[in-house]
Amino acid sequence: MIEAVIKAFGHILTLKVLLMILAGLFGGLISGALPGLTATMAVALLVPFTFSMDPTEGLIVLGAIYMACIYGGAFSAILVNTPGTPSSIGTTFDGYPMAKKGEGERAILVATYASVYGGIVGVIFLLFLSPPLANVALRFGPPEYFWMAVFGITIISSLASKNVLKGFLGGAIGLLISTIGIAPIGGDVRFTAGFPQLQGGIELIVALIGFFCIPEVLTMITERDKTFHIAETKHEKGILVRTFMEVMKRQGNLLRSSIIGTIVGILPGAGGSVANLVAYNEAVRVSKTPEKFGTGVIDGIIATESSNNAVVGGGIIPLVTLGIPGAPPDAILYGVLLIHGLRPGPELFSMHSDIIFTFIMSLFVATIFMLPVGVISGRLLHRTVVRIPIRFLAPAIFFLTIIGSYSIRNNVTDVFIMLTLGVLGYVLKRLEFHPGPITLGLILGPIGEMGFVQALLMGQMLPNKWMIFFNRPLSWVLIVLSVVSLCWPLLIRQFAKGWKIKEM
Amino acid sequence: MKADRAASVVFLLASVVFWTQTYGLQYNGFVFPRAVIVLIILLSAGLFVQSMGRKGDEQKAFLPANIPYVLVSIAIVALWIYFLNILGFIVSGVIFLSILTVIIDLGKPNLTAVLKVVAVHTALVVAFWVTFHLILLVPLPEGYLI
Repeated sequence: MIEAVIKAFGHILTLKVLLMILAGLFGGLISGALPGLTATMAVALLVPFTFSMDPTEGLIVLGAIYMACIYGGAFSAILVNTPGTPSSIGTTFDGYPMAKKGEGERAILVATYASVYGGIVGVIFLLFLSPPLANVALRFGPPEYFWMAVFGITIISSLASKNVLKGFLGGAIGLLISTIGIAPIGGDVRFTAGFPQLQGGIELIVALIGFFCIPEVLTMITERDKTFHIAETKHEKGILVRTFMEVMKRQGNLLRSSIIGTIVGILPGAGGSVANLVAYNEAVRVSKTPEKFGTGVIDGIIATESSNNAVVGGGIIPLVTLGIPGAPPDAILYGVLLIHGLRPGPELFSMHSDIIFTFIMSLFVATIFMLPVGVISGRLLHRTVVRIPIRFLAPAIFFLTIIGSYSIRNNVTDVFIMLTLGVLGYVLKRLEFHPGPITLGLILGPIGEMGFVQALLMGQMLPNKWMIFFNRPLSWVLIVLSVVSLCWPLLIRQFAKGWKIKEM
Repeated sequence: MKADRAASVVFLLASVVFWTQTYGLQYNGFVFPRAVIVLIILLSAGLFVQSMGRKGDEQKAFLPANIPYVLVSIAIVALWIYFLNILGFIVSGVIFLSILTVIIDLGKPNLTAVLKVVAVHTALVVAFWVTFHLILLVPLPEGYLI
């Protein structure tokens, strides 16, 4: 393998390939930073540009776009409280409060360092642990997917620490919205109120833009007399090195979140949107000061950004070993491999090892390059955005929301749905409902429903069909994790009380 | 807390409406949504009880001070979306972006300022149109104009 890796580096370290990686990184960063343009869309949009390239070069460019797009989502999450991609939902929780405090530049640097770290860990796993990890993923059946969704929902107890009841209610609303449209099993049309346009369901990205972006712009408008700009900037000398040291001191958070990202990436259907929230939840749970999360602490950004970039490597593991795409952008890469006559699966490593190792190592190089590219463009973007007066920024964000929600399925109905959900999101925000749990429900709804119904169908062969949820070891692992996750904030409070008594 | 109480009642009523919509569906189609609806009913009831128990708690005013601006902005964006496929991406974009900027601006608009706003937004919209429509070939709304 070492020989193959060295050979792969030989392919990559040429001026042409390095320039291609840089171009891919810039393209990915811009796509990621624009709300509505997901990594899947960016990779899909730019596939035709790779037709004239040889398979290796095409994969290198698309890999760089994918990696940078996931990272670029952090920019808009930090600067305008809108996740550029669903993988950056959790970054809004602490990134935007930091930007409002004038620490946007620091937040972007934290996101950059954490993304690079997570990306590298994901690629290392991809390189060394592909086959065994892919075999674990294959053991996940419908009951496990259902329990995984339940585990994901329990994250709300950490996300909505101010009012857990409202958090879970928001999550349930998200779950219900996710059921609008055609049922995944059976094909029933549900909750469309007679509008055929709703039969395709509510597109996740449209809902994300609505719930995160519109309430924020409307809040900007209501507070336009208080603030002329989004935030005042603090220019600090030595911020680059100081922030780097701060991030690197948090090895536990970085490594844990990167491993979470890799594992979630391996599971087909989950991806960065789930990984960043699971990693955030774990960071809150492990922290000695969980109450500070959501107020603008770097640990929150480290968790979400390292995990979502680790998903890139993780998602490619089942693609190259089993021929199963781990995340939606991997499905596009699957198609690209087929276009170039390469069949994703075990034979990729045996028959086309030169191409696959070059692709893996190019992801590594792209991740390293993301550091200078991200630092330069991220700081530049930050300095530009914070200088734009609200009278220009608010309409410009409206403009981006319209482009983003239209471009998903090329119809105006989605734009109306986005606005409607945005107004609903604004009303819920005024009622102190956080958009995080609602979108978590939206993300996990389809995974949970599919697992739930398929498991019930599987359970028909048992004397009691509901036992299907409790008779598999992996299900029990997830059940225990869910119970621990649900009860953790309560346990922490109890422990804290105990400690206070001892201190007294 | 009044707002919470009202919200919990709205959620309860919405749950009932959604429940009635599940009649006529097959088992595989309604089993999951009904489970979620039951969850919403329980949580809404919990929120109602919580709001009754915390009468003294302060909650920020539901309606913000500048609510007319919010409502006007929502109405303008709704009109913008309606006219997207009639006026086209560029024309509707420039018109509605400029209107929004003038409305949100705190100062009294004069002709020079309005022309500056229109120029800025024309540049923004055209830049996006060229990048997305001409270079990346992303379909954008097309009306009778451009």
